[in-house]
Amino acid sequence: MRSILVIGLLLISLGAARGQQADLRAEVNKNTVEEGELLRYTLTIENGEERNLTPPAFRDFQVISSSRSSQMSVQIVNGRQEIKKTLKITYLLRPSGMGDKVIEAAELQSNNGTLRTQPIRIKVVKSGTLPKRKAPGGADVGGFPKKDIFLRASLSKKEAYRGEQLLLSYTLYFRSGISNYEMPASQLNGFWSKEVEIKKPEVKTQNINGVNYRTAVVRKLILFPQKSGELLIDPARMTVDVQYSFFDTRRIKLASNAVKLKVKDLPPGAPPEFNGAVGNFKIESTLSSEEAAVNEPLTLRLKISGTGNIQLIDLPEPQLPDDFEVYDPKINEYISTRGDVLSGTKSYEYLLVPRQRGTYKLDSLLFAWFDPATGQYKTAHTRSYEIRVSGEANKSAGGKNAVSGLSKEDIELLDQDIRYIHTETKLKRSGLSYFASTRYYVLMLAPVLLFFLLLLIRRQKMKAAGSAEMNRQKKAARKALKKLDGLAKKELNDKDYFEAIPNILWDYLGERIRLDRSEQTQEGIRRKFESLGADIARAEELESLLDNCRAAVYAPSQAGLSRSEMLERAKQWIHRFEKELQA
Amino acid sequence: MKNSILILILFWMAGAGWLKAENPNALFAKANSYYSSGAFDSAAVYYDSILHLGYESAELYFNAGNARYRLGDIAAAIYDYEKALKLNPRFEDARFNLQLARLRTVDKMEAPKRSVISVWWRDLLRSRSADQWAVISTVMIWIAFFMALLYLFAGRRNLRVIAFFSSLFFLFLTLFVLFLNIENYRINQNSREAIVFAPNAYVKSEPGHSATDLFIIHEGTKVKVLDAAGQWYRIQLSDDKQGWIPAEAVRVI
Repeated sequence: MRSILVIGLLLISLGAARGQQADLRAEVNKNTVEEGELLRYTLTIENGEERNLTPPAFRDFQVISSSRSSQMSVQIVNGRQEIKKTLKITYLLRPSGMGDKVIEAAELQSNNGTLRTQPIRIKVVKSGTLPKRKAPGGADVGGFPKKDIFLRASLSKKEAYRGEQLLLSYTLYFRSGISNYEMPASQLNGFWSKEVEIKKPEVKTQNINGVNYRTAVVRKLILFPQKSGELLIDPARMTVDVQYSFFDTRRIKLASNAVKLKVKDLPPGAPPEFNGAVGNFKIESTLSSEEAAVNEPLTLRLKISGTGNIQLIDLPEPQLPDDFEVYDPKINEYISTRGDVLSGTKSYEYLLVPRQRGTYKLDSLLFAWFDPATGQYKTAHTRSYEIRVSGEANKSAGGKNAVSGLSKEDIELLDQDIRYIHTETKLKRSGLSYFASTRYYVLMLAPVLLFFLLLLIRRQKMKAAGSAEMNRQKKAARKALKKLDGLAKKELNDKDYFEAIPNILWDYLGERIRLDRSEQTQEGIRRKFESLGADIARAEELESLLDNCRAAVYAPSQAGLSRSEMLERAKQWIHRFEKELQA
Repeated sequence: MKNSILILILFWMAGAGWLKAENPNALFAKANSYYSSGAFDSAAVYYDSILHLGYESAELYFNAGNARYRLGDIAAAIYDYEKALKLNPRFEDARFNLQLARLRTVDKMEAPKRSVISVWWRDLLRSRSADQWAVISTVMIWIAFFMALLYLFAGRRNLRVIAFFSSLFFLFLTLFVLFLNIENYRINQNSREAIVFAPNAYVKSEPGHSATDLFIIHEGTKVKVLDAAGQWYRIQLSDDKQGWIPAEAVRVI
């Protein structure tokens, strides 16, 4: 616990010097008195005359006595001598009756108008009701009157946004000298806090309801509420060594009041870049150079400055392509609590090493924060850069360390060189492709067309050949019948006659069913007839016919049939055979 | 700079009729001799001059790719090897050199796994160029034709049966190859491919410089061109990522 010696300070006269300006002040030594107890009322006139003073009427009091003391001091302010006159008139008063009494205002006519003090309310209580020698916390204060020393906690705002900075100060009010004190302390739940260092507490005078107190701010904290809702700051406790006579120093314990704070949530509609910064900021960036060679490092510095929860925020990270190696940033922070406001700068220094040549963009970075003064979100951005990287990435061409991301097979290839040029070639006119060219269509369609053409020719020929055959077949019967009829007209002997009939029949069969000479046997005929699907009876008839003819040639006596009969039989057989074939 | 001057001179010579007299095969031999003597920049210029005269061959692209590889222009080398493989998909040396050139590019992409059958089918389609497939189908249909002739006019019955069935067999084979041919042609027409020539390029979500950046690709990466809008191409990477890229950043194969 740090303690500060303040005795010297408190012994300084506290009269405010305002040059030749007149001033009038009134004070009492206490506000609450017991019945019959005396009250001291002091009027202080600065640079004024007593004849211009109208003292209070003291309607509720009896003036026991009054005394005067005057003082003169010379001050040199800005090289000018100033004389200050101070007159103090002290009245010793006894209140008449009980209850609330008022000491009326005193008036002073001066060269800058009428000065008037505030009326002072005095509470007169029954004798013996005021606790004596009791500290507010019940601790022994050794005869020090109540309320002669107390600690007040106060917040700079009653309402704040979450994350908004505000000041919590502990002020000690006292009337006697203080030799030593310990800093007030309390638990701060739901806050992030930053101590404001107080090197030498400044002592001021404050008149509270007529009683002059000396005040000193003993501790200041900048608070950042971390959650929303009603937050309560518990009373802080401190110990003070009070010196109210040179040899009498006593240690008393004090507790401050509790403070309430209403914390509002941040309004909706935060930009996507927002990450909790509340206050007022600005962001800037510097890049060491926009031109670089491969593997030559660049420095990117991002700086954010302003007031607010700067220690709690992170800067956006620069988005760079993989062609850059980005090292972890060096972070510098400079924080100040000057003016009871937390402000400062935070800078990030990135080292960028380009690994490939090319032109790369470093996009501007967006930073968003909530400004509690306007109740709005704000966004600022850094400038964007275009980095031109020159030079060769793989200085050792094909070197193993120059390339990355290779597979196992690729690594084996690394040691190899490209294959040598070919010296033989067939240069062709470019743009000429065989596929879908006229030549292609001709060559592809020609065989198809030729095939169908040949097929057609062959069909034609076959047709022609076929009809010739049919004609011959059709004519065969007519020819044979004609020959047989011609036979009757010819003057032939029996032998020739009967030999001619089989020949005519053979010729007929030869033309009609292409019966070969080799097939002119019984078996040959039967086989042929069978293959044609003709009745086997026709074959038998033919055989008997032929037998009859043969018999007529070689044994005419045995011939059963006459020449005309034989002729008729042959003709009828042809008719029957034709009918059969056509069926 | 030196190259562009040389190209200008060659163009001037072409205009003046000098090169017209010059046989493209002679230019090819000259370029090869420059290459073998280590003058890769001159070799590249001569290979280009043959292309400017309107001649091409798989070997020409292959050699030009080699010259570019030696000069360290990996994107151009990859472009030439891809061209060579387009003319002759079974060009083993071009495939090998392309693989080596790809090792020196920045983007390494894993192709997503596809089914065995679709991979096999794709490989089959791409095993020959459209012209090669066309030649095969032409040969097949003529064999089928001659078999058909044999069937029609052969005297012997056995021969005719064999001829009939083999003609039918070759006819079906022709139809199959023709189908492959058309599929291959269709795929090649639909999927134009391009090589990134810019050192790096931001791939955007929409055509236009103000659109959102999706990712970055680097020189030498092969992309599939799906669509075009103004000066922008919609591209797809081999790992199926898509986006828009300025047309000047790539060269279509």
